[in-house]
Amino acid sequence: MPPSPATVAKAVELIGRSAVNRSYFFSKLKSPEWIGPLTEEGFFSDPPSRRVNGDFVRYPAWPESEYLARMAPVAPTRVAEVIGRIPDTDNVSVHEDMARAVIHLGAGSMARWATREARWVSRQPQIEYPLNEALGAVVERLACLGETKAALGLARSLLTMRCVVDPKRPGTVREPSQTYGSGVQGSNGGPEDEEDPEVAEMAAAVVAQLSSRLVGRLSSYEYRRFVDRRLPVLVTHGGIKTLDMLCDILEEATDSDGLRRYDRAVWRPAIEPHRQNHGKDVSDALIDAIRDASVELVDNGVALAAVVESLARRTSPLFKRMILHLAAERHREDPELAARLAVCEDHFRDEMLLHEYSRLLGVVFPGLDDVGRSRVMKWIGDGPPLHDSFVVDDEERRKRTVYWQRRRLAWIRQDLDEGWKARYARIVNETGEPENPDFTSYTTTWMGPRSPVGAEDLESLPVEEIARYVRSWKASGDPMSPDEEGLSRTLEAVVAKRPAEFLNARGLFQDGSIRYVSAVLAGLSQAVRDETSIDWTATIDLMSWVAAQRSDDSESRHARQRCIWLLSEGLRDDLVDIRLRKTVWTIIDAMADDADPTPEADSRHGGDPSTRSINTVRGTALRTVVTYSLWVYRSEMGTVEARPGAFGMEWIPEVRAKLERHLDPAIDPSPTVRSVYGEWFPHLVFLDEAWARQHVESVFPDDRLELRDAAWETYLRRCPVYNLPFELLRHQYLEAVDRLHEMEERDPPRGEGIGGLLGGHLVILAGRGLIAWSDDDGLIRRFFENAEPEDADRAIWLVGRDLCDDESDVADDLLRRFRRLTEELLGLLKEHGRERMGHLKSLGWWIASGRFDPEWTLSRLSRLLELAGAAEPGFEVMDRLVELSADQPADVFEVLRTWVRSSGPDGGAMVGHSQSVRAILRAALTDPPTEDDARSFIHRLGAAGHLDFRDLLAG
Amino acid sequence: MEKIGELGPQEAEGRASTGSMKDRIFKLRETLDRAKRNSAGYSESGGWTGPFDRHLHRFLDKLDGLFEWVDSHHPSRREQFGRTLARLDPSGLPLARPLRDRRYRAWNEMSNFFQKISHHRSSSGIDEFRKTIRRLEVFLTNVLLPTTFDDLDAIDALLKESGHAS
Repeated sequence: MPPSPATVAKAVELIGRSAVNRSYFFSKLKSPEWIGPLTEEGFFSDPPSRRVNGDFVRYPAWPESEYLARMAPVAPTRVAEVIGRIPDTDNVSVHEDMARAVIHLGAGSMARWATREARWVSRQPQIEYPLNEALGAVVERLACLGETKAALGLARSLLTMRCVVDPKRPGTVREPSQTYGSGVQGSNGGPEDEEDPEVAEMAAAVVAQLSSRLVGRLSSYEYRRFVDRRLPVLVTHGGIKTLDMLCDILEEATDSDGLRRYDRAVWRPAIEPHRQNHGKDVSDALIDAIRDASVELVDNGVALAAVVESLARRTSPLFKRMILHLAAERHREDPELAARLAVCEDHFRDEMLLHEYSRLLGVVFPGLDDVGRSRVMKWIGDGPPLHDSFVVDDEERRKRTVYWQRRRLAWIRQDLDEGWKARYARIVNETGEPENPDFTSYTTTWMGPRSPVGAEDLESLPVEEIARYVRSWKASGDPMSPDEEGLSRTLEAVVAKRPAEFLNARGLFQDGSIRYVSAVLAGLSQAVRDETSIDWTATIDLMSWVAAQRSDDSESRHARQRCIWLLSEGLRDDLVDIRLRKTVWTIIDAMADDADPTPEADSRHGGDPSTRSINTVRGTALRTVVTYSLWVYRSEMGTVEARPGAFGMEWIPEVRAKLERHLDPAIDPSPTVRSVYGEWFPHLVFLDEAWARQHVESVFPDDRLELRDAAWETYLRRCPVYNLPFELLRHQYLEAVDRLHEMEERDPPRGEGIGGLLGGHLVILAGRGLIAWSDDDGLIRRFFENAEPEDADRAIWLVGRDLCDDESDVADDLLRRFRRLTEELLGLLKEHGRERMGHLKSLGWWIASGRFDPEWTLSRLSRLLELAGAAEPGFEVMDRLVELSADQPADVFEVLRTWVRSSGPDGGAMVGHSQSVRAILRAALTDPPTEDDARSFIHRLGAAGHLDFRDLLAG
Repeated sequence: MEKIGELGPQEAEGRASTGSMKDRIFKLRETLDRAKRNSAGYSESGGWTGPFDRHLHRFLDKLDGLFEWVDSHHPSRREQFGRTLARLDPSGLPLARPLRDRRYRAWNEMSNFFQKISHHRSSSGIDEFRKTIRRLEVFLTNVLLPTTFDDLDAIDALLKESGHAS
């Protein structure tokens, strides 16, 4: 029974109060009786448009269409009438609802809607999930109800593809649909008005063709799903018209490729499912669909000739290949037709058809009559057409013919007569068996390097025999065969298990390739990491031999690198006896003057110089110089603790000389090597403060920016914050703050993340009281004034994560200073505003860390939210608010209200925090002075669509 | 003085017979919208992409720009009212057109009533004045101080009474 006019009027008055009321009302309607009265009131006539906000597009839900979709199964006629009158819309959500509704309507209504919908789909660049699923269901339903024309029309609109420029390829052009004029726009070009239109159009056409590909309205995945799920039904009911529709789509798509790449077999090596088919795009799915539909039609009783005729109307070689494939698969349905296709010289000689033709000939040849057989054998006997300009002499002509014949004879080798069998045997004897004769080209993969012998086999041999084997084994040179690198890796694994034996027999390896000495050293390193004891005297003897080698090839360089890595490990863990100091230094001394890295290598490789330093001989050796110094310090002082003034460079004059030598840019201009000084600067201060103070300017030279940056950036990246080094480096910190903007402007960009690390150092130093906001040089103030948002954010986070860690103790002094710094930063936020300093919202890390008293926490959070509109990290801040709401419900409620007001009802306060907000509201409702405000606030949240809190108002 | 030209009899007659500029822009917009719906050279996401020459492309884009400008700078009073309502709705969503029209009519009635009163063109009594004031209060309260969950309760009760509840 329809609702009374009074009921309808009351409902309209209620749902007119807000958008949420309207959504709620329609979601609760379970009866189709309202369709008529609401239509009379003007509903179902105004679907909301899509909303574009920058790069984002939203499709608002339409409560009316959702209601119609629910009512369609129970009142299809009434729903059909309404749907027929709904105006066109660009809102995908509405189309989804309509598709879900029409599936319950009568065949005629559904077909009319589908015809109209196909026109809309044809204007869309993409159809995404779940609309594609809903439309696929409509296609299937239409086909089952006999409305094949409408079904095919809608399917066609969904499956159509086009050749477009790939926007992901660098240096190419944008998709034609995204611009105008020539249809494309150069990636480096200025405004279009400044280009010569003719040149731009010509260039764009060339680039567009080269970087284009076929794309569909559906993604590759959804296209494949549609083809697999919906097409079989469509083929069953639509018959050969379905095949025609699919062929039309493929033909139009391949024609749209100006380069006609899709005609070539290399793009789709086999029509049947095959490992050589690597493509998984929409065109592959469509070819599979045509292939399977052809076979299915024949299986469903359609004559093979009729299906072949349908495919033969197309001109692309792709369709000829599909004909040959179909004939091979179903040749028994029409042997004469299959034979005609096989005994066709055009097919035989067309290289683009080779794969499918070879398969057809293979299955048809045994059944051919004598005439057919002899024609095929004659073509093979005649050989390929070789133009004189392509062959040098008769011998080349003969060889080419033999290879060509070998391939074709292989297709039918089981069914050759005796004479041809003997001829094929002679060819194979001369040239070997053909590999993959049914493909013009074949792709294969392999993984390397590979060893000629397994680790277990090598391990079972005595060391002497292993040494003999590695000295005598030679790689074949075939890139896919075992090689020396593979053998080295196996040897390394064996050495790691038996280091003593290999050290005793080290001379046997010194006689062979230095590559295997590297492997022995690498195996020894592994043994040290596995805590297997090794003879360091013998090891250092082997290292001395390596250090004495003068060769500068890559293998020798690699051996020196292995050597210095191993030595560093031994020194670091005090495994090497101090009595070997002199020999050890001789090795380091030689390696520290190695040519690697060369200036060319330094300029060739970008990236972090510190990482590079551990992969170069000189860089690693300079690192080992410091490791060596600390090894001597521990030995001489008998402790790892610092003893100010007790030790210095006079204890290690060889080190001082080496370090000072490599600080001279005329001798060592390498940023890679200089980064070592930055990384180890705190240790150099530890070893000799006076020396470090004296050499600060040399380590971070203002007149050699590449060296200064290498050392400084490595210092920030690799070193914890130490007080004494900071005192020596205060000037460097100040200059780094002044350089913050330079980081962005460099080309190529350098120093990524350095600003954040610099800020992290400064914040820690401020916590320790070594610097303050009010310092004359304004070190930390200037950092926050000038830092990029992400750098300031990172600086706050670096300390914030420690403050939030409950397990670490934080001294009261330190907390007091962070509180003070927070006040200063809030002042900065107020002074410069949210636009410039909004990133300081990450102060939530500190304020809500739980380290500060509740009053201060809540007042500063409120302030932060007012000024920045958010507080991060949201979850931690919300957890802290929930915690405080038990004792201070009113204040916490006010903070929440501030947060929602500042960020909007869909902003940071509500996203993902439903449970926390609920807890805060519940606490506020139990606090009599706050209750009314809390109730009003909950209503307001409801009006914003947050209906989860309704139960809080009950009772 | 600057309006003298507009007041000439010939021009006034011309305006009357050919319609206003606003009407003509509105009709042109309808034509353009129809073309967008039916032309293969237009897509909703990509804009005008047909095989037109660059001059026509540019013109079509400029035309779109003109209507966007008209929408944002010269909305109708009805449109302005709808936008204000959407801004005040915490969901940020616009009301459906029939509801929007209904509320606009109600607002317009109240607006006209108070204008007539203030210009002494109406002689309604104090009761009607109080009634309209009360109506305005309810209108503003609904907008500014939503009682969402009370409304939802009322909707539930209404559907229950009509026998159409879930």
